Amino acid sequence: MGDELITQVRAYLAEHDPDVLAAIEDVDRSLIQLELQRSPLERLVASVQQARFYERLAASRKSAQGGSR
Amino acid sequence: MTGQPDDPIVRLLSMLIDGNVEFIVVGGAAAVLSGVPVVTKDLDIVHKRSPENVERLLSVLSKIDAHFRPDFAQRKLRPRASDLTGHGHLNFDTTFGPLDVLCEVSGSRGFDELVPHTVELSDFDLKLRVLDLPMLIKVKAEANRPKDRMALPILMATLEERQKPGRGE
Repeated sequence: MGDELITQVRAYLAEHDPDVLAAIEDVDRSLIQLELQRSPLERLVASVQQARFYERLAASRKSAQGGSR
Repeated sequence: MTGQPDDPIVRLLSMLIDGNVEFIVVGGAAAVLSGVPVVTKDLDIVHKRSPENVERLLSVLSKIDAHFRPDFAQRKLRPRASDLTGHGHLNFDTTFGPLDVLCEVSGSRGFDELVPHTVELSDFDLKLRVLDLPMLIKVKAEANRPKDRMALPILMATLEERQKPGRGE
């Protein structure tokens, strides 16, 4: 069932969005391979913690910019 | 359980599971659980809209202080059963961070339509039903928003990597 869906998506992208299809080959596979070595829950926790870090970073930069004006 | 990562998102998932809520993890969290190296900040779920399950979900949402976001007027509006039986996307802030409860995704695909396209993941003490990568890719392709188009290459590449011999989980 999954292969069928992917065939449909690939056919759709080939017709409507060939740039996206071409970009698949540009993806750095080493990042994916590293992720697959972790357990699913470890991946999820690492991902949300990274998101929170970026949010804090963005907030502190925003407040620093506000303070310097 | 020993060794289970201690993070609010794990506690949020545990609350839903302990409350016997039937749900599917979708969106960015489903992608990450499947091995896609992306960053996600909230939990998106599609729940079964049976009266019993909506009751169980409401009970959990009450325990985790779920209220609609954004909440500019700080009114802390709580969800009602009728919200959870509809067709929309409900965005909440909770004690354990943001939670998006989706009645349907990509048109009219609800819990029952998505279940055949899920995998059950067991990790530490948690058993999660997660939207599988092929359906996640299809949903993103159908959504066709810029952010979804950007995610497609890495989703497709992850699927290819997982399909290599010895890579499946």
